[in-house]
Amino acid sequence: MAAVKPKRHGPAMDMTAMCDVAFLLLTFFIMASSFKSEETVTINTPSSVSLDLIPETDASMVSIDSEGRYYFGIVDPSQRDDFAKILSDKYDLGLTNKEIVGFTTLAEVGVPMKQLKGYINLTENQRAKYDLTGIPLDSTDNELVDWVKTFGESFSDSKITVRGDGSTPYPALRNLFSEFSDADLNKFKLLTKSEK
Amino acid sequence: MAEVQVKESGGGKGKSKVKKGAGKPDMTPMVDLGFLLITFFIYTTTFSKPNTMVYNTPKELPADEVEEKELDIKVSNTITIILGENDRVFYYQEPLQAVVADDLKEVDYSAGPDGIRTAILRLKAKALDQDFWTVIIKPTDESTWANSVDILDEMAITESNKKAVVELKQVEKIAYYTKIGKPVPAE
Repeated sequence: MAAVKPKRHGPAMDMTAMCDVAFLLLTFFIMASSFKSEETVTINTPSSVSLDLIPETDASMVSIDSEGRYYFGIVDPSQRDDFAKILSDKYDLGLTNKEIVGFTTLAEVGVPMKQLKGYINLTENQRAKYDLTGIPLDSTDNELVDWVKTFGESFSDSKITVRGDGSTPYPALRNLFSEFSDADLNKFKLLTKSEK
Repeated sequence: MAEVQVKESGGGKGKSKVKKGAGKPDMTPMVDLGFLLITFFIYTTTFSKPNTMVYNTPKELPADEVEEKELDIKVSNTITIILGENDRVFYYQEPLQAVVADDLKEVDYSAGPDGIRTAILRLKAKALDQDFWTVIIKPTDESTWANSVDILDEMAITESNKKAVVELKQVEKIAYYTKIGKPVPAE
């Protein structure tokens, strides 16, 4: 009697379940992610044991790079267009709607208000090469205070976060705190990395 | 690999052309694509949010509202920390006017026995009145922001809630620059 040989198939795996999982994860990541805004400067913050997280909304962000230049940014991208409108009206910068949309893609601004319009209209590559001067903040011209104050007027209960590079020399910070203190801004949140 | 199994339709006579259900589609490329996209999203997502540390500066009062209040803080209730250049850190526990270079003791930012934390905790334990334990932080012009944040962090760790960041007085500058062997900058 001839034995009945079972038909040989290659080992086949059912991919359906795996596919389901992959797309489930994909959906999750798409929904949970917020894209990085274009970063103007790289700032390496020091670390701390603090457990408070950065406020998601109503927070302005003052960044100080290792050269001691000041930058202004807004944490929540959806608040940037409102702010740009108010800033443009208040200081007569004449930003068009297109430029306001352009402003929302910037994580931080490192040019004085007068140059803002021109800076937004640059392409990404041109911006990378742009010689940033930072926003002036000294006893003769404390424009950074105007930015922060305008933000404070635009959104109630606004907070000031300070993001300093670890290697920034202290005088740049001393200047910041004393100028802000003169403008009656006394509460800060210092951005740090988590140590865990 | 998953493969489409096409059933051999035996015979070849007329009726065999009837389709017997759709074959299983090969899911492999779809899974590949799915995971590729996941990888992309993971890389572009900002995952870890930075944390924050509360820092409040004293309010500047107009000159006519300033109340001159003589606060009597015992020297043994305080520690003064001077943040120096190149991640060096010094502390002393002396009356301000009497401080000289030899009073400055050098420590480091680590948590070890030579670290500033050990020094703070040791002096805090010896403080006359724990409720009035005060830390005075004096960053020099050569210190970095990371130094200040490290020290503020130590304040949280050692639970030193009364703290102040102030400028160095001339007498401290002399002591500090003598200690590190550099000329005292002109005022």
